[in-house]
Amino acid sequence: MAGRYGLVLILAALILGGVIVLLGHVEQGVDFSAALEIWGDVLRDVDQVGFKLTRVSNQEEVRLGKEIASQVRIRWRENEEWESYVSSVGQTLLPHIQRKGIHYEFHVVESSRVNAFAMPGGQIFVTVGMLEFLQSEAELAGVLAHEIAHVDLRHCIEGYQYVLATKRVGAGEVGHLAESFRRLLAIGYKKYQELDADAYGVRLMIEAGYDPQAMAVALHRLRQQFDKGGRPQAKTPVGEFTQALEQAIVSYPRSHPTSEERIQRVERIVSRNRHHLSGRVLYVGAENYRKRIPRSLEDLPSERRGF
Amino acid sequence: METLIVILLGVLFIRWVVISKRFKELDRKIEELSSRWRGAPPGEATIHDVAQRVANLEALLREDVGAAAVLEVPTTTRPVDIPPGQIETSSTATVSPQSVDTAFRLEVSRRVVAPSIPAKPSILARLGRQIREQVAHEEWEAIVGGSWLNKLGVLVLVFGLALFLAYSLKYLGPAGRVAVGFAVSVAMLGWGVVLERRVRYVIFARGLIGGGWAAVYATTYAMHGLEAARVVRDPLIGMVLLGTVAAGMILHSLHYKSEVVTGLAYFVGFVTVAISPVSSFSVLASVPLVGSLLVVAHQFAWIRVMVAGVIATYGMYAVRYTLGPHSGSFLGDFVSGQFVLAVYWVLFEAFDLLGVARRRQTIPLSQTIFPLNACGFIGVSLLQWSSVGLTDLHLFFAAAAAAYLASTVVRARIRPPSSFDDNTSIAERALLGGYESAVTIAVALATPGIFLRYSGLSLHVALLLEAEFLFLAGLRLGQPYLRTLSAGVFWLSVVKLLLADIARGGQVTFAGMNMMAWTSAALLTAVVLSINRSCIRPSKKPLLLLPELAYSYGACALLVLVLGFEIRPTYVGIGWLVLAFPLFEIGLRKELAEFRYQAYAVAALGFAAMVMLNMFGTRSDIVSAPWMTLGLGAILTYAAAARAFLLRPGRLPDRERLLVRDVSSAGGTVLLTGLIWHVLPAPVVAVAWGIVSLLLIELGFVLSLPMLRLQGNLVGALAYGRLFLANFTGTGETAGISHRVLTVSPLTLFFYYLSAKLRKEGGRGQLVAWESGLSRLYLYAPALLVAVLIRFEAGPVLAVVGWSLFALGLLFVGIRWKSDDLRWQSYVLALLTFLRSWATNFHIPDNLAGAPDRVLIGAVVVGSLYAGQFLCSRCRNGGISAAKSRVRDLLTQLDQQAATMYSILATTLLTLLLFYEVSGRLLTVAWGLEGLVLLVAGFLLRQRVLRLLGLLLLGVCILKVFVYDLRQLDALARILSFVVLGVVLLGVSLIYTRYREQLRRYL
Repeated sequence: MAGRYGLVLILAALILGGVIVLLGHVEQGVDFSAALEIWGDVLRDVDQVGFKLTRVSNQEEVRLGKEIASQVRIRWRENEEWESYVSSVGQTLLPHIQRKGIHYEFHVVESSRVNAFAMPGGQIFVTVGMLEFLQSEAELAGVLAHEIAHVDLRHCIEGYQYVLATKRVGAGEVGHLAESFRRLLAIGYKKYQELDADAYGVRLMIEAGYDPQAMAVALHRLRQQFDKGGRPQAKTPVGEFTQALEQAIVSYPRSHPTSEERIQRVERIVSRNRHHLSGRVLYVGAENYRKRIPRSLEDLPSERRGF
Repeated sequence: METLIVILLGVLFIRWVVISKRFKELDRKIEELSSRWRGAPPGEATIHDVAQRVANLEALLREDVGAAAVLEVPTTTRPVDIPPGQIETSSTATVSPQSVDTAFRLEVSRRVVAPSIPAKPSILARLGRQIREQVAHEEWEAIVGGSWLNKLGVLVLVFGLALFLAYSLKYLGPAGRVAVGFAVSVAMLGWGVVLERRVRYVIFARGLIGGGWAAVYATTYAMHGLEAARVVRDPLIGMVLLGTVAAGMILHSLHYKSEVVTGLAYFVGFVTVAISPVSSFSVLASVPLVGSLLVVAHQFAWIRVMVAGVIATYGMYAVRYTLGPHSGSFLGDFVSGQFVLAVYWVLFEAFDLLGVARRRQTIPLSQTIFPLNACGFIGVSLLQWSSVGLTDLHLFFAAAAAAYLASTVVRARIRPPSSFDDNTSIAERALLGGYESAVTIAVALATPGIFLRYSGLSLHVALLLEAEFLFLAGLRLGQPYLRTLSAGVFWLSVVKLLLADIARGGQVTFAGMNMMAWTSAALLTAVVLSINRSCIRPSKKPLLLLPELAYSYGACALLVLVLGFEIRPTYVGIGWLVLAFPLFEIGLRKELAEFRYQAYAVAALGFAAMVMLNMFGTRSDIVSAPWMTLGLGAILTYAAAARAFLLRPGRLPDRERLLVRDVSSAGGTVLLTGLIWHVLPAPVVAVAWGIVSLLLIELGFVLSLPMLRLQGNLVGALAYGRLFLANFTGTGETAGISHRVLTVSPLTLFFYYLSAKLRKEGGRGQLVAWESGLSRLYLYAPALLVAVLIRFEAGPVLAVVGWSLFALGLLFVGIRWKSDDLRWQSYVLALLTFLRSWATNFHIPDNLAGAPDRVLIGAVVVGSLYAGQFLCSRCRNGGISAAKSRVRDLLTQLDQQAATMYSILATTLLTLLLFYEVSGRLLTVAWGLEGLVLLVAGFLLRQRVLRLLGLLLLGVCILKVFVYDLRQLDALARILSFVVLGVVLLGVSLIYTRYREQLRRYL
């Protein structure tokens, strides 16, 4: 391999690879995201060892969820106008989840913040601010699917497993300590859980018959409204490196990836699963959303999109 | 004026008082010395004296040197005539008169030396001695009264006469005053001449003669010079009369051959002129005075008179010009004054030249004439010029410089450089009348003159001309000093350029181009310096030529400055780099190391500029032009490296040649790397760096240049790191192939190729020390790349498929090629696969296919692990570990247990998969069946580890049914679990029992 032919072969491979890349659409991103992702993988795998060993039953998780939800409801007043509609949409997603033993409940709270969050045991909360931000039933399904994914993938309960496990043996303080340590570790991969939740949510949406593009649309709007502008491109190699390092340091403790990353991920998933989606008709439901009448009660043909 | 004279007299009086005190002190000391000397005369000693003195001496000697030199002393006191030659004593010692005399002298010296007298008499002692010699045996009072008062009296009288001549009286007209003046003067002269014949009145007479001549001169001067005594209107007649008097004075003084007398006469004459009103005539009147002084001083070699004359001449002129009233046309006075000064200068210079010709400069006082003349002439002229205004001052400087140039020529003829010893310093030559002093002053005058006359480029050209003239003269005449002077002027022009012209800035337009105002001057200077440097040959006095040796550095620095200011900042670096090439070639061909050093310095400067400005972009106004800057720079530096590489041995010192080669190539690589970064998109940069790395390493092996290979390895490392920054997370693709695969895969192959290449070259002994571990490193690096590529290409969950297959591939190749490293990599990858599979459970969040995909993925992974076990079990891997580290030891042991490891991993993974996928009701059944399959496979494949794992699993099932199933499962599931498990267990047992014998052989 190390002879003259080997040299020619390697050289040709390098040149060919470079040329082919130049012929396509080239992205210019330079950052430490690859290293951070690998590091996140390592942390997540390490964490999983503990999670596997301290797994709680579905019943225990539901009980815990109800307990936490009651605390949330004390803090925030619920909006009953939206709750039935949101609950109807959410119920359409549930047949496709993995963990059937979880009983989901959907709550709408009075808050102007654009936010939605999930608690263990299927307790899903959406703020009025989020509902006012969304524009279609598919977008609402995307948000609810994302939060359901967090529950179904055990992201929510994992935050309590150590505490529950140590409480069982009467060492609750140790559990709190372990949980604190775990959260420190979780900083490294929390945002990848968000990406997983997005991906899982897309699957739920599709399986429930909603257009997954709606999630990307909502994220686009989120980016325009809340994300800061992009950084200018570095002009020197050293500038590029320092910019990447700076971005890595800033982004590491963030719990959510950027909207741009989420959009790209969603679009990639859709693209990758194109063969599964071809020929299917998926629902958007903008009119349904405006009227707050779920598709299950009013299926409008104009809201359907062919893939 | 009068006040000054009174002050002068007062000073003289005080000085006399001080000196007289010193005389008294000296008298006392001399008396003391004499008395001491008279106290012990050795010639008159009797035997008693001798005996006593010897005793004293004995005591002294005992004190000083112990008993080693004791002399026995005779005890008799009767005077005895001792025959010469011997003194008898009562003891054994024999003493000779010489030794006694010596001993006595020793004793005397002990007494005398105790109050120490310095070996060399002080200045005052010498002065005292001189004065004493001069006054001989006369008493001091007589000296003061007879000689000093005589002289002072004459002085005062002549002063009074001069004042009388200038004073307007109602009843005595000019003629009368002149007549009176002459009468007094002649009377003094005549009386002096008469009295001189008598010995007693010699001193008095000489004072009168001196004063008489001074009075004659003063009166003659007043005949035209003073209004109150003007009887001669024509200045020419006045001058003639003065000249006549001066001639008479000279002739008469020659008769006495006394420097003091003549000096006094001239002193009085100078003072006379000094106190008269300032006018053209008064100025001219001093000329014959000076001239005659020169003649006399030259004739008799009276240097002190000459020195005093120089000081008096210029001092008088300066005092008269600054303090005295000016009369007549101011401009007229100025011109005549300058003329007179010039005459003074010529006269004194001529005297000095005559002295040089006569080799009189060996006398230290003679050496002061030249500098005094120069200081006086230039100082007084400048004083005069300052009152006129400085607009034409350059004319004075030019004229003075020309005069000193003429003096230089004359000095060179009459005291040629060859007349000095080779080891005579420049300063000594200058003092001894060499041309060096005159030419130095000429240059020192010409230079400010040029500054005053010219400005801008003209000034610079004029300076260059002056310097070049000196340089060429020095070259032609073989005179290093001239060239040193020229170097001074050259460097002055350079300093002026740097400190004044560049600082001032400004722009001009030349041939349609805008350039800095000083650029043309700088270029011209650089050219001249370069040409001059080429004319310089090695000298016996290298220190003297040191400023010239720096010509080329100066020229180079100027060229660098010009380029730095004239070229746009974007191209400054490349401009400097281009400049370095001709410098290097000149240095190489002419064998002048300094040019080569300049080339290196300029090249380093250019490189630094390119890195800072073009690569790092420290200035925001820099326009990006990477091809023209970094590209061209890389080509040039590589060309330099090639040039150094291809040079014939001996043309450059080896160390220098290697350094140039290596540093240039490294610089080229840096620039090329930067160029690639600038021009290519982010994902392709790593690939391009990989190509560069490959070429450098290959070239390094072909040409046997480890430095090139080092550069190649470093660039390869850069490419490797770059992948993690720019290539793994991008989403670009071409024709459905991700850019990640298109860039990472070739680089992976590249690193494997490097590993093989290094191993091959290592086998041929071509590697240097630091390369010895690289082959192994290049085996691990691409493995990591592949693992990461699979992770990002397939996703965190699906990556396990790729990893398991890659691990299998590594294991296969590792076994085939007997490579420990590849096998170890496969073990690590297998472990990683297991952990990731366990953590993710093959669940892909965005996979729409659902369970079938997951089962397929799981099957592939588990199958790969079992395949690995199969491969390992068919080969004997590892061996006796010659481990140098614990890690290596561990890996070697793992090698020996690889099959077991793979089996455990696969079985555990399968068991876990079943645990997560199969519901609790059928789990025991599933595990039981798994155990059975493992046993069967173990028997069929003759794999003991499979059978053992199967048995273990069945054991777990047994435990589960009793601990968990019995309590947690419903009735139907519980029954199924127990029944299926029971059947399985029985079946296994039956097999083991039925085929015991075969199994015994089998096992």
